[in-house]
Amino acid sequence: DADESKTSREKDGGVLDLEGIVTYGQSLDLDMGSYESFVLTDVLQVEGFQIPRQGFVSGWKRIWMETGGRVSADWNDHEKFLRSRADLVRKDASHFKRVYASTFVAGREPGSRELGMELGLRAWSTLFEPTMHGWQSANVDWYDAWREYLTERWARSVSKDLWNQTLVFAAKTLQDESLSFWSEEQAWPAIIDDFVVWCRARGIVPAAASGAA
Amino acid sequence: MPPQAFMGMPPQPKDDIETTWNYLQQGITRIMLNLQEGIDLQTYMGIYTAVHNFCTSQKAVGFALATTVVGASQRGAHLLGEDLYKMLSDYLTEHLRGLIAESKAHTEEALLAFYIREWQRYTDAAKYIHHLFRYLNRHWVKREMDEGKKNVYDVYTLHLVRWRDVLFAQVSEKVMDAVLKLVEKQRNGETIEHNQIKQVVDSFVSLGLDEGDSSKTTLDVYRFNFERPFLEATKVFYQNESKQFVAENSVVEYMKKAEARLDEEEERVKIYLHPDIGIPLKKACNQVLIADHSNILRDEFQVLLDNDREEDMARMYNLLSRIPDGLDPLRTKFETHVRNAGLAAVAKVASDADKLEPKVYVDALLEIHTQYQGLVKRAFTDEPEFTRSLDNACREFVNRNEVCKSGSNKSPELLAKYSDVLLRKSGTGVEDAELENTLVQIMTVFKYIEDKDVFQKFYSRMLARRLVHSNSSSDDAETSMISKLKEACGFEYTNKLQRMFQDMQISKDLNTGFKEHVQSLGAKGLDSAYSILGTGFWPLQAPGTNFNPPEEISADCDRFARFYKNKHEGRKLTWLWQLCKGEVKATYIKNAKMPYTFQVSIYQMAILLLFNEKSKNTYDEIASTTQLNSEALDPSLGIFLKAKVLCLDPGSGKIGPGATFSLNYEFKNKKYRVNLNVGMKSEARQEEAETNKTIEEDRKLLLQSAIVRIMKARKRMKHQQLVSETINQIRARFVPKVSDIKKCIEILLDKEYLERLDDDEIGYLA
Repeated sequence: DADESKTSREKDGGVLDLEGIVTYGQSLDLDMGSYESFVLTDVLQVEGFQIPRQGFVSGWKRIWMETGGRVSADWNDHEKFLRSRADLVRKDASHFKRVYASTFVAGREPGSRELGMELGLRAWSTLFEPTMHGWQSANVDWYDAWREYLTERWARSVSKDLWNQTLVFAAKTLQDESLSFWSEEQAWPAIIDDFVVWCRARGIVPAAASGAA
Repeated sequence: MPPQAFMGMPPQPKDDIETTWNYLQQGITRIMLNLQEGIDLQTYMGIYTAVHNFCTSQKAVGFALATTVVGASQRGAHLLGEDLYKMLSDYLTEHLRGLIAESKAHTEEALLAFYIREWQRYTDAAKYIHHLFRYLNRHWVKREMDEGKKNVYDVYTLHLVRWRDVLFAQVSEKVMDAVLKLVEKQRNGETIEHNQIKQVVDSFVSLGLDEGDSSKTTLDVYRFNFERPFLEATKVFYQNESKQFVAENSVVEYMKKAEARLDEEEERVKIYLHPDIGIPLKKACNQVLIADHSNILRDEFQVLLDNDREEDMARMYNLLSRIPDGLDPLRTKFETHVRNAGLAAVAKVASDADKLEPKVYVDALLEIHTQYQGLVKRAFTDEPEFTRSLDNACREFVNRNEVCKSGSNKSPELLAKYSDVLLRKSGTGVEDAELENTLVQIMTVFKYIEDKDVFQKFYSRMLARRLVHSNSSSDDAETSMISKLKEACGFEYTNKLQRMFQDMQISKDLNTGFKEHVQSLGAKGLDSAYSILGTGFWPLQAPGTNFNPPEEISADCDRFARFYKNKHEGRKLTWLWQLCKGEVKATYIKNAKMPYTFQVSIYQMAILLLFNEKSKNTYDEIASTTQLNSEALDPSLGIFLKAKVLCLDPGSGKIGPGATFSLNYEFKNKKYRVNLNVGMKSEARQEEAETNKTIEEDRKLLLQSAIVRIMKARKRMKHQQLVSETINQIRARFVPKVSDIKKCIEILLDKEYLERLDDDEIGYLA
């Protein structure tokens, strides 16, 4: 059937590569240029932007089990299911967090502990889009600053810890764009500490309030 | 008894109160007014008996008293006692009223004299009367008191109470005014009859009766009537005096004045005041003489510091130590001053930080420390808080100064280098005692060094060099220094140093054994000595070049290696050729009266020995035979050329492939022993850079292992707590930066030794 024909792009060893995943997602009516691509990688528990045939099958099988058979191995069911999951990202913070966390695993090179910076930046930009205005607050385009800062620093990759903490940090910046919640004594990763300093030096946020000194 | 025996006293009365009292009053008046004329036994006995008879009489005659009270017949004796008691009390009141009237004729000192005289007479009489009324005391008074009746006292106390309530209440203020005037006279330098004041004090104190228990006294009366006005007057006096004095004199003069005044007041307490006033008087004086002027004193402190006015600083310390929190501002100023002095001393010698002699630097640090430690000792009585300020200041300028700007490791590095200078064999022989003293001084600076790990690194490298090249000045000094470090930093800090030292001792024995072994073989060995250095204890690395030792050398080395393997099976020997050296005798030189001896490295030896075969060798020949790479070969050849042991053939350019070297048969030197084994400046630089690099690596590991150790014990911990605990554990070695600790925590998070929990907590993953 359709399923068979779409997955015929499987290459050596029965692995669906990045290009294959994109095509597959598009055929399921997902916007693969947006966060929806990570909804797909989350559902199929993608690692290193590859779907082994086995993972692909077991991924849907798992969904079938989890939904008590509601989502059958049917193309339409898959499409409907992915759509509902994509909507859930906008509505349910804990679900969003899950997709965010699995994106790190999906995006890193096979065998690597870290996520490449280029991919990381792209993932942030798309993941922060639906619920966090692309990580922008009233007066500050945080994503833009973050990208510029990381580029300036020649940061090459994102550690798992940094990936997770960036989300926590981003959520806080949207609540308090003066960054008064931050202090050096807290457990933020050094790269985020330096980002705050960088932002202050740039005048993106007001210079340190007395409390933070 | 016959009436005439009573010396004009009326006959002994019967039991009725009026007659009895009339009789008694005459006797009492005599005692009260003319006691000094004496009293005869008959009078004494007469009165005593009259009191007794009256109190024991059953008939209550003459006074209409409450005989209707039930049970009054049993209490007859008591009621009669009460009459007597009241009459006596009234009598005393009357007597005292008379004294009040008299007192009005006197003022000032005359009033004091009057008061004291009358007090003396009154209390003396009271003692007699007390005895004469003993029967009343024993029975009526006792029973009244036992029944808990207020305002009944034994007869002596009754006297005091009357004095207090009648005379004292009216006169005491005037008496006190006279006392204060007298004291003021004395404060103004006049001589006074201070015994008068003492007697007044005693009188006031005697009047402090405990209403609850007449056998006890309190100081309340004295405190209220004497101490309170005395303290008040003292305050006013010194407020005025000090205000005027300060306006007209320097602060230093004022301090002398204040000190004298304080001593004087202390003396006053001893001579004629009650000890009870000692503490409040001191407090009052401290307030008006010191605390009220503490600001101008403190402002003067900087001037005194700047001018080394030790005596005046001691005086200021003594004064300000008497008031609460008086010294804190001094300590702050002192700390800042010492720090600035230290920074200035360093800046003076730091003009060329690269060429700075370690001794000059350390001496500059020590000079400031010695100077101000002396000040703390002499002027501030070694007070612990001042010592702490000194330590804080020294720690600051030792670790952060002009020299440290070029590299924060500079202080420990220079200190280690200075120890090396001292412990190395040198031409200028330092006396043992002096050397020991200097080592003690090094430890003084060492105590302040924050980066003790840096000192350790440099020290161990230099110790290794001293030991390997056997140019340590004395084993005793070396062990003394190591034990000092051990005392300061613990066993772990000096463990490797000690092991290095031991290795050298063991090697000595080993060489003796090897020599015997060679002799027993009958082989003709080199005059060689080997050192076995334990890997892991010595800060040494394998040579950076291949090396093919000359045959003579390798034969001996092989023999030694076999000898050693035989003794310690399974141990692996690595030859550290870069540290080997020796001497060769140059017998080829023309015009030499005796052969020169060259002290050379083993690499140089290998090169020179090639010229035994032929007097010219090309660079490539030398390189291929010795197997040395250019980093090892070129500097060695360079030294030979510079010392003119070898000559570069014309036209062969620089040292390097294509060059040809020939032996200089015309070699000349003033000395017959020529040291050609001289290190290059660049080598030393490189070593320094390397040492500094390993420090950074080691610190990361040290931090990570501390973090893991803490987390293993605690399982979970707030991030901030973990950071401060880590600082605590590491501080003895170096002062870690918070950001470095955070980075190490991140590394451990990444390696999944740790995990993030909620609420800034970190968890340990086994």
